[in-house]
Amino acid sequence: MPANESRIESSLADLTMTSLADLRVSDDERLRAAVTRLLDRVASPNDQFGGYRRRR
Amino acid sequence: MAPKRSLSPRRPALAEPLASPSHPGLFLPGGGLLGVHELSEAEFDELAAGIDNIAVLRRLAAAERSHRRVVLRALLDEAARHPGLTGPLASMDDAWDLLVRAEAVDPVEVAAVVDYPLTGVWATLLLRRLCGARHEDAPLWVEAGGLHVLAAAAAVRVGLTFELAVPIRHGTVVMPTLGLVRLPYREPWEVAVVSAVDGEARLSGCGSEVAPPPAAGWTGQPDLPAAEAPFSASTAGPWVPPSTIGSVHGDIRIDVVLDDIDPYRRISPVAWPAPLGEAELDRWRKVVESGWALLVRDHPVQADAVAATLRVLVPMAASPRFLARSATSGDAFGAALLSEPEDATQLAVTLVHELQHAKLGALGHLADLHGADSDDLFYAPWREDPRPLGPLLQGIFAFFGVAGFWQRQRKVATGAEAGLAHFEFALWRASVDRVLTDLRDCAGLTALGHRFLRGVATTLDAWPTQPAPAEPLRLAHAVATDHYAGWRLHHFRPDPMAVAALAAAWNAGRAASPGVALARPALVSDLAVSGLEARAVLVRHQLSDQATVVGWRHAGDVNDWVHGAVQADVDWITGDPTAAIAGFERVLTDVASSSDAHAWSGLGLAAFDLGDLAAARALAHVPEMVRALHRELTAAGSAPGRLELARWLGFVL
Repeated sequence: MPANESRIESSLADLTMTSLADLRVSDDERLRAAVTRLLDRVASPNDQFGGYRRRR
Repeated sequence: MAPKRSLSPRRPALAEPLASPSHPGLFLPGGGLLGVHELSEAEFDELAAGIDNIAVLRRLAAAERSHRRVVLRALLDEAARHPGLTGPLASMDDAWDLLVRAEAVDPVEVAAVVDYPLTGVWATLLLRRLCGARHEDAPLWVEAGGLHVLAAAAAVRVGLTFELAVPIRHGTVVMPTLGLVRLPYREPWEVAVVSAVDGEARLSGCGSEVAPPPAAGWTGQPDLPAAEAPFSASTAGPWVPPSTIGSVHGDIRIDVVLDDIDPYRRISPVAWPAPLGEAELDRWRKVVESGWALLVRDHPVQADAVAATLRVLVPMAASPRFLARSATSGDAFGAALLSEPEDATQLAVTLVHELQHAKLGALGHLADLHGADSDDLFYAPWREDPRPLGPLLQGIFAFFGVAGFWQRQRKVATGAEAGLAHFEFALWRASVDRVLTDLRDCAGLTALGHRFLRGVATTLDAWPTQPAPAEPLRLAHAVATDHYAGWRLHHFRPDPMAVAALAAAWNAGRAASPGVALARPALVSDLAVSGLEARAVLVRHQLSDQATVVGWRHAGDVNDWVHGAVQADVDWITGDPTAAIAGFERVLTDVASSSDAHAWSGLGLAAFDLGDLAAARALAHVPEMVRALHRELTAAGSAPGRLELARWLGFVL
């Protein structure tokens, strides 16, 4: 992504380089925020779209 | 530096300390060291417009890897609040320790298990259960033991020496990416031990011992080895490795696991392993081969995107013709469920449909397109039930992709396939457009949500319906009208005061008041709704094989071929609306079926074909009011003709 492009920043922490050992113990503020966002939404019917549908 | 815009409408409050109580004091020093995922505004707009950019898909896939780890971290935190969670198994921390050991040896092999799409379904369902938002028959320790199975699979893949107890579900243990082992069980929930020394793994339980294959399962790479099924001397049953399917056309290759064993593959409820037989596997391989050839030839951009995204297909039994089933869970990026496709075209359009779900699911983990707490329900032309806003957005985007597929397909299809393609395009283009209009002022959408839908609308507007043959367009309009009318008849309850006022006007010989006729009804979900797609299925039969449908006029019960259809429907589709009206009236004259939604909406379609536009208008836009008014007047002793009453109401609409 070119540096001069307007960006939309997410609250999802980038954990792609985080080891599983660090994941368990990290106190990173952005990880906290991502976990909180997840827990806010995880039980909402608005965020569960799995299910069968029928169509051509 | 370019400006940044937050994807969240509000910054979440910080959670309580997240570290496991069993690891106090091990917090990393400092906070805010991690980066965050981001998209450029141009990339966001490309996604919305339905442009498949492989670089953006890779960015979404990376975000999904982070999301998976957020889920696992939340799971560990919640598990720590449930003492005794793992019952006879080792603690969650002990299982995690094994994962950590395995990752230290080979992080790529461990990621293959952690990032396996269906791992996300297990983790999220368990998290919901721990949060009190889900029930499951399996004991909690069995579901929590999914982590132990995950860790054992990872440890086997990297060749660790270890021993770990795992749960047995009705005599089965499914180790993600490695396969299924069956044991002669006595109790529904038991414990097995997976152990390995110097790369030689064993699984023992229920008095038997089985040797898993050496890390031969899913790797996410092409040319997957077909794992043999080695047994120890005292093996209890075969080790069933994951089935895989691959196909290459041009220079675009797809390789997927055909997962018929994972207990979480059907999302919810938990499913038992059901390995496909050789004949079924052969059919799947053939249809994937032909469907992939079609996708690569006629939809190469979408084929590239599917190949970059899809890793697991969950097979389901074939459905009746034109009633395919498919699904994607936002918890399982890269996996799609689908019924056995009837032909190449159906497989191709289903892959495109599910790709759309995957993209929007990943975007939803990055961005708030709608508020989290809206409980409003909406009409969705592709569903029988009223939908919450989040799933409605999913439907919009998925059928936007479907419309795009048919927009391309109608240019290359020939013969009866061409008529069907024109019909499908017109139907889904209009359906998506309708919902976009419904949501134009929706307060539940965030600014980004509105921006996303504007992107969809811009592309949709650039797809002209014409040129197209008249008949498929006429039928698409009829099917859309019919579905909406049927949906209203099932889920809308007219205002009793409005019904009474209209009855008084009718009895006094006055014209109906438009405001009263359009009085806002109450939405009461009819949980028993079914059959709203019957006429759409009938139309597809008509477009693909007209002679067969004509034969159904005199061949017994059409419901035998199209569930929910009645003989009057065959009269209607074969061009005899007068006979159709007589048939629907017969249904409605019977007291037991006087409220039958299918017959009421059919009456409107046949009226339209006869040129009775006022009656058709009322039965299309306020059918529940026509029905309620007829019921009210009939109960009072004056039973007007249904079409006469609809015509009276339709004159003022």
